[in-house]
Amino acid sequence: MNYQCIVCGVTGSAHAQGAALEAAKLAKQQSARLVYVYAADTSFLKGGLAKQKGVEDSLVHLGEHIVDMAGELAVSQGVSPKKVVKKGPVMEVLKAVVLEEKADLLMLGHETRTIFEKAMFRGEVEDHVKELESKTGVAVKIVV
Amino acid sequence: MKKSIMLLMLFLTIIWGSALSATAEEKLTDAGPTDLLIVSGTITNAQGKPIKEVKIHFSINGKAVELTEEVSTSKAGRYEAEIRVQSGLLPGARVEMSCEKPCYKTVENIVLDNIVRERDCEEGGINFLAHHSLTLSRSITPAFWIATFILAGVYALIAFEFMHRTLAALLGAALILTLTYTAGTFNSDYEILTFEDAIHAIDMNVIFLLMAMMIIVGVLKKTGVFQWMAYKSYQLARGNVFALASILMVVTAVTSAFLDNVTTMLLIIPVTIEIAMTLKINPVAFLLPEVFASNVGGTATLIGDPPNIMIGSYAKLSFIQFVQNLTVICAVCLVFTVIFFCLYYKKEYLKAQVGDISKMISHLREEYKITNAKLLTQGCVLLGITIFLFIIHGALHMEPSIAAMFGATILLVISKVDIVEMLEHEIEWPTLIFFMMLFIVVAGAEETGLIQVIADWVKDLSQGSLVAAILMILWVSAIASAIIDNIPFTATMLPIVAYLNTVIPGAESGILWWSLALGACLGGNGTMIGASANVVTVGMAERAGHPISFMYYIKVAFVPMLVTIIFCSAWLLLVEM
Repeated sequence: MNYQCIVCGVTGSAHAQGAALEAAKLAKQQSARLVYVYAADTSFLKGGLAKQKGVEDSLVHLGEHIVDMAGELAVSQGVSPKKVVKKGPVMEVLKAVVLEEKADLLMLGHETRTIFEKAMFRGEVEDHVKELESKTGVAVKIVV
Repeated sequence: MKKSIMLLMLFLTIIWGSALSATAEEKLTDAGPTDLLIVSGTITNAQGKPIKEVKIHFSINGKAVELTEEVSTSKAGRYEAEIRVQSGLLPGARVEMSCEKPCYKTVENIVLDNIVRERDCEEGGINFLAHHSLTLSRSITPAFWIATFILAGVYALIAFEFMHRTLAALLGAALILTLTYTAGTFNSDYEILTFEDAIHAIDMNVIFLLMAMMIIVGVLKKTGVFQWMAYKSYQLARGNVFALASILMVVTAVTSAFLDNVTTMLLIIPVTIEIAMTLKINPVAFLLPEVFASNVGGTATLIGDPPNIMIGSYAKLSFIQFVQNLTVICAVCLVFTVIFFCLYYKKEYLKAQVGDISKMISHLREEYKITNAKLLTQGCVLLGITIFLFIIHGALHMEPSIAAMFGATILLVISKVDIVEMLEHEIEWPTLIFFMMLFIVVAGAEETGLIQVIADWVKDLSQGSLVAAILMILWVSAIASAIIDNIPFTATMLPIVAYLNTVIPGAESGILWWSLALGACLGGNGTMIGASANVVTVGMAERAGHPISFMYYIKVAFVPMLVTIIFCSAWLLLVEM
């Protein structure tokens, strides 16, 4: 399939950065637009912490650094990506960016999670593929 | 017409009611000269603590005495009753008293055999005096079991995260009060805690202190100072990763000693992760040492950690007393923390690709600069004044919350920060309400005798030995705080330790408070759920793509936590000697 726009969700993990590299290669191969997105998601914070000002901004700073790292990978492949950092829950941010960019592929890195993390962050990345596909209406590819 | 009759009836009822109250007294005075018997005394529990609101009834020669006002003990456990008796009846009459209070065994027919003649009155009667103090023993009533069940339930709901901890505590407090005013109204065996006692149980010193410190942190946060400190750490280390890790640990510990651990971590973590990622090392190798140091630093002062605030307020311990008793051992623990983690993550640190230091420093300088220097100056000056007031609050007999409220309020005034925004976003109302409701739940357990049962059990287990009590409180607090939230644990332990201070020889110095503070604060380092700062760190790390598993956290942090508790054991025993 020929993709016009690829959105790749990134974090600082090796898996996510691996997915970023794969996305860059695919974008180069198909001459597609590439968008890296990081969600500054504070929904895991309880007791009003998430609402505190500065916390989200702090994560945004980190997110900018993370998308810059992914950007360097893309540039190494000869692709100039668009870098987006948005505040909000991961799923909502991904959906919003896919729709805004009119993307036709969403790529994510596989993240291994422990039982505790699954409880804290509601499951693994793979658990959300179907939900993401139905929410965004585009194909979702997990890079292992 | 109907309305007039009703009004007349209401008037007559009021007149009749007031007349009735005087009847008992007047009956006697009308009958001729009377004598006056004044009975007084104190009622305490088995531990010598006064019991308030004990209802006392009297009888003379088997006939109940009608008094104009019900006699009950004051907050200090004292009572005084004036009984008019027919002239000539005393001192030969058999005067008896009975005492009753929910959750205590009712004592009946105590003979007052020490009635003495005081003086003759001008009106013709004689005044007699009697003094009788007594001890009431606890009774295991349904209220005891209900309060036990509620306290255990709140713990379980919080531990297993079935619901938000504030909601769990709110539910517990609501149940206690509702049961008291429904079932307890008809049967005093179900009376757990009155509304007045519930309000009295809320330690507003703790609430105001937490609130004020949240405001100060909220203002300082706006200046970017927390992130700036992380950047400065990198600048100081000049590419030496071991030095960087050590500086980050010390900075986090010192900041956490005066400001909220969670906020400190929340704001330092993203910069730390960024630095670690630039150095191409796993950020976890910086984050775990940082949060460990944060909990160690928070233990050092009265305002460093919520358990310390609670202990300081309950035991009336001053800021200086905390510094004198905890700062040295916390400094020792911090030195150990730095050495341990530098060795533990040695391989990871050696993997770092330092690269162009000047470029990185200029990048961080640009990204994490002080955003509002004027506000920072104002914040630092007011924080300094607040800390100065903390230092002298003991001498001024001023609650530490007053010092914090003063600092926070003046800071709000001079900085012209939007007060509504501050109140909405920077004050963690759920946390404050959690504290308030928790105080009520624990007061319910205390009122019905559960806390006393646990305290007696701890006392028996320690066999009255101070050393055993110190070690037991320290280690039990540490292990418990690693597993459950240390705030409800500390709240429960406060009355227990207060009791042990009075019954264990040598504990009057208050050393058991330091055992509790060290155990409750440092124990939280053992697991990722042991302290709020740990949970936040794990969450932030995961959001950055570097998850920390539950077992990994235990593997890294549990042993050093135990070592710090061993240090504390040695320190406390040394102090005790």
